[in-house]
Amino acid sequence: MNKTLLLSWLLPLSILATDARAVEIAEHHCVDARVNAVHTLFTRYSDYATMPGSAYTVGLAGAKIDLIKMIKSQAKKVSETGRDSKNLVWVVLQPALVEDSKVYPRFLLDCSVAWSDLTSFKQNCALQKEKQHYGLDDLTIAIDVKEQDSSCKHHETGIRLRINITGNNKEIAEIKKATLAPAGVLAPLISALFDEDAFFRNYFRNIYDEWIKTL
Amino acid sequence: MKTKSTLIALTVCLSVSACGVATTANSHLGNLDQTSQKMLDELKSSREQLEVATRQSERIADALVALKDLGFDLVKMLQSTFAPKPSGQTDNIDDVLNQTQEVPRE
Repeated sequence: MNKTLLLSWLLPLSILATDARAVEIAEHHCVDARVNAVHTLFTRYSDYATMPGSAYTVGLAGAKIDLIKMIKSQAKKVSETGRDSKNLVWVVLQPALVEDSKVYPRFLLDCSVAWSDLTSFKQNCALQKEKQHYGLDDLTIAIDVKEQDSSCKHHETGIRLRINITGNNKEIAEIKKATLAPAGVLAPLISALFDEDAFFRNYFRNIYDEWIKTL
Repeated sequence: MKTKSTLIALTVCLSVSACGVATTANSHLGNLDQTSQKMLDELKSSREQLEVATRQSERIADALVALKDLGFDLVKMLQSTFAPKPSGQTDNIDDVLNQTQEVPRE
């Protein structure tokens, strides 16, 4: 088959929107760290954009490329009662190759932390649907941290992570189209990298994995 | 009568004990059920991730082969194409919070 023809029909097919279904990430980690260290890590809301993992990087054919990165994480404290807290966190992501901020995934999270006792807490974050958001229709992050997690070794702290992501079909297609526009002959490759189902799942899974590695 | 009432008392006592044991057993079974469900959820999530990753890897491999066949210097091309781009202007958190309603979406 003529290789130019092969690439030319791949390109339009690759930018057709597919249904972005809700995806769930469920993980359990055991870390050699105290519960307070985990709490500090997960509540450094204003530092999210500068922490390891804020860019989702892939190695491809010997090159390292940032597919998407967090460029903004701003927090406002809503309330604090003892060790419990509630914050609003504004997050903006920049997809590779895209300078037009109209198609940057962005969302406001309402994050609450509630301590059960001195050695365990829960953090719950939820996308605020009544406020500006793009790329996602819904996002919930539920983290359960226990210093005496029976599934971990005696000195380890258990972290149970459950993330539910619902992408917006139309907006993900717009993001993909904006990314492919400047890509030239790399368009089919970039299209393969931007799997709609994996787009946000990979990002969130990677960021939490990288954060947990720093403990 | 005394024997009968003693027997009744004993039976009630045993029933209550049995109920207590049954309740404890049910509670343990409930906990096991919850633990199993959590494990199943995590396994399901891992399997879905593996399916997505496999599908994605196949598509990437196909695209890489096509490009290689065309003779492109992939590394140089990737590095040049994916060089960091300046980011466009975006709202700050105060702007977002002050917006009285969500910006209309098409």
